[in-house]
Amino acid sequence: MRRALLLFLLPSLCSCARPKEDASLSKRIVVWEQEDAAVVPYLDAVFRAFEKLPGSEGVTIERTHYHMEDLKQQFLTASIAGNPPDLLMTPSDTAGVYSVAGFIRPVDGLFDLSRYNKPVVEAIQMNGKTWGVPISNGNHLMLFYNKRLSPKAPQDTDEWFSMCAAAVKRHKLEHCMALFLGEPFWLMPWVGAYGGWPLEGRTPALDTQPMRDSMRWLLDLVYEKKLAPRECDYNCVDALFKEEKVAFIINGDWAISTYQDKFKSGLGVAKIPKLSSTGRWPTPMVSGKYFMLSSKLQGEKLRLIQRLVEFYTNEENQVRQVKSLMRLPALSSAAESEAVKTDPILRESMAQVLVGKPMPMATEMRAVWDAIRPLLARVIIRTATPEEAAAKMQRDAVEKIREMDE
Amino acid sequence: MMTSMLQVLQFVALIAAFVALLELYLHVHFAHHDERWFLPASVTVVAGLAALLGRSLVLGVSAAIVEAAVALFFIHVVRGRHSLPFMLLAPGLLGLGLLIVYPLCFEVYLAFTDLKLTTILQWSRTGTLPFVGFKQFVKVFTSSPLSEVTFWRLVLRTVGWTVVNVGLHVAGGFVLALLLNRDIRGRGIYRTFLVIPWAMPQVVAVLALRGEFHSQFGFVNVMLARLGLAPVEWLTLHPFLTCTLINVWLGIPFMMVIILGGLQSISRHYYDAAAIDGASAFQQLRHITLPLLKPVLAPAVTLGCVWTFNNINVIYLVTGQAGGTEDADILVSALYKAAFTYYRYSYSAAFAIVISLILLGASLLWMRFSKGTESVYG
Repeated sequence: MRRALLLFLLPSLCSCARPKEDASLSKRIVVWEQEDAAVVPYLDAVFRAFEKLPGSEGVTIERTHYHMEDLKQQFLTASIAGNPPDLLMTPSDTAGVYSVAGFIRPVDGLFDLSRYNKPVVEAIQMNGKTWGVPISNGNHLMLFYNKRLSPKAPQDTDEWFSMCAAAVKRHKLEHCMALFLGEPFWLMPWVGAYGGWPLEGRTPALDTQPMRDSMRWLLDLVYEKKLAPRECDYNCVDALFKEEKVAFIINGDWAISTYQDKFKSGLGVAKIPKLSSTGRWPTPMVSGKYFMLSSKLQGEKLRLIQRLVEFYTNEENQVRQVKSLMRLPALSSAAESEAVKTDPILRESMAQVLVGKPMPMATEMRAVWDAIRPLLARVIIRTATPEEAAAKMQRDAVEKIREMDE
Repeated sequence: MMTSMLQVLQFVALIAAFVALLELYLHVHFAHHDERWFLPASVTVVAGLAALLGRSLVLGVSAAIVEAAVALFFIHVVRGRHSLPFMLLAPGLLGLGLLIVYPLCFEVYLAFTDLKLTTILQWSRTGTLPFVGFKQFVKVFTSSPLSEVTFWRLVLRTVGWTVVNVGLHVAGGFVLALLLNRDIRGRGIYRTFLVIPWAMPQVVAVLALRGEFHSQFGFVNVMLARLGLAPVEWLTLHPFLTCTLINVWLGIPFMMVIILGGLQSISRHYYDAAAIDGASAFQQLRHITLPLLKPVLAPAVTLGCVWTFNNINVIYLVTGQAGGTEDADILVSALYKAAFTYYRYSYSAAFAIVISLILLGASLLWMRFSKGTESVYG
């Protein structure tokens, strides 16, 4: 019995044995990302190239994919458990949460941030510190149009409506445009066009005339002008555009490569049309994708990560990223490259960025999103007026922020 | 691929090593409990190993105290008896302890402290959290994780959701099971088709059906239009009803399978005897089928109630992507929002304990009044 037990135990115990290693000297880099499947080959190609660089002998980069919300939950859980990944590749909106919890480290002093576009760096700053290194610029909404259904882009909303009327009549469309009405992110350009913004500093600013006007504007599009379908989530609006059932869609820059594959030269991209009634450009939220560094990083491992981030965002790779993914570069010198200047789609995308506003990364924004979402849905189905909804959003957001801090 | 396989193999080997160590530990305690050297030797070895591996004197002393208690238990209570059952049960019990008891204890700890976004940093640095007594439980009853729905309305809605869903699961499952229990041609094929919603992954089933409830392109409205009826905006105007319909569709096959199993275990002799006595079909159903199904049905209904009460999947998948309405939220989906949207971990722990207590109380009452655990043949 004893011999049998020992025979079973010894090989098993051997499996527990591992060479003693200093964590800071480890050459294994763990990266978590939330990119689309189409982007993954590009990521892997850059990582493999880094592994082959002189001085990277023995370095291995392990990339793990999560969906956006899963990435956040998994990173929080792993950080609480004390075993976070070394690097995150993610938009800026979660940086507030991670920084307050102490799970990511500021990157000031580790990188020369003056090399990157100023707005994209500003979008990741909070409490005087920078919490990520920009990979790409944008993550913003803009106007896409199908040139077969509407040959050119509108400059303002009045022109947009007349183009819509023509397209609907000529091509017998049920609707002219596809808008993701239920999601507050899609409302923000119009709030900006009416002169408002959802967060002033760290205080919600929802019970405002611009918020009421922007909701009324959506109602007008759906019920009066009947240009957009009422019940349509992201997948639905995306499908309507791809299936050529609508001429226009407002969607993010992440969709450029997919739409280009589908429509080729028949795809048009433009700024969201200027709001005729105010004469202002809609202001989509602008951020980008960022590298965020775990607060556990130190010593040799930190220096290795610095090298990787600098390599990933060097001019050569930024231009390569533009060509492969059609994403605006974060590096100022790459933004001046011919690849950006000569491509009509990227040029329009950059023009949209310039009229956008940085996405707030304060943790309070979470409460603001969740306060807007159910009430915006009620406004769209007309069980609440814009006035009632705006007042309640404000109360709810303030209450949720109080509960988070309590 | 190869690396992943090696990691899995390493993990399996680690588990095996752990189980082997546990069995060795138990074997020593069973085999040598009556030796004079056993108590001092076991305390010294365990304390020494703990202090060495944990590099902490406090850990060593704690391990010595625990080991002394275990050794005394083996010397005076177990006394070398029942060694096989103990050794067979030990890995399972330890697994349960690690996967259920420890998280449960931790949840209770969280409920009496204050872990939230702004205290995570303090917790990860010091390992301690401020004790707040019953404050989180008071908050559970006096506030709501949702903007528009109070806690008590959520409780009522959840009870309604559970009763309606389980009621329809049982009714639908019962009717289908009665039909399938008859000698009909192609019974196996019908049964296979009817079980599909339950057999396929719930995420796939829910998302597929959610698409069918789309106001413009969904199958449901297409059929309504064929009948000359106006389209209904299911997801926007009636999210709770939509979730209920989807969950009813998902839940009926489980009840059908359970009830069919119960029906097939009832001897034909009861029905033959009843027929000879002139009992009608309804009388046979009432006096034979239903009483004899009770031992099968009562636990199934209890399980169904617990699953439905805690069913976040359907609510989240149907409404989470449809504009974030709160009109279909039940207790667990609200709890999810509190924990993962607002990072109120301690509040959520207290909320979860309250939900568990509600379920425990309801289950005990149901088992008592339904007398579902009593034998009907005795």
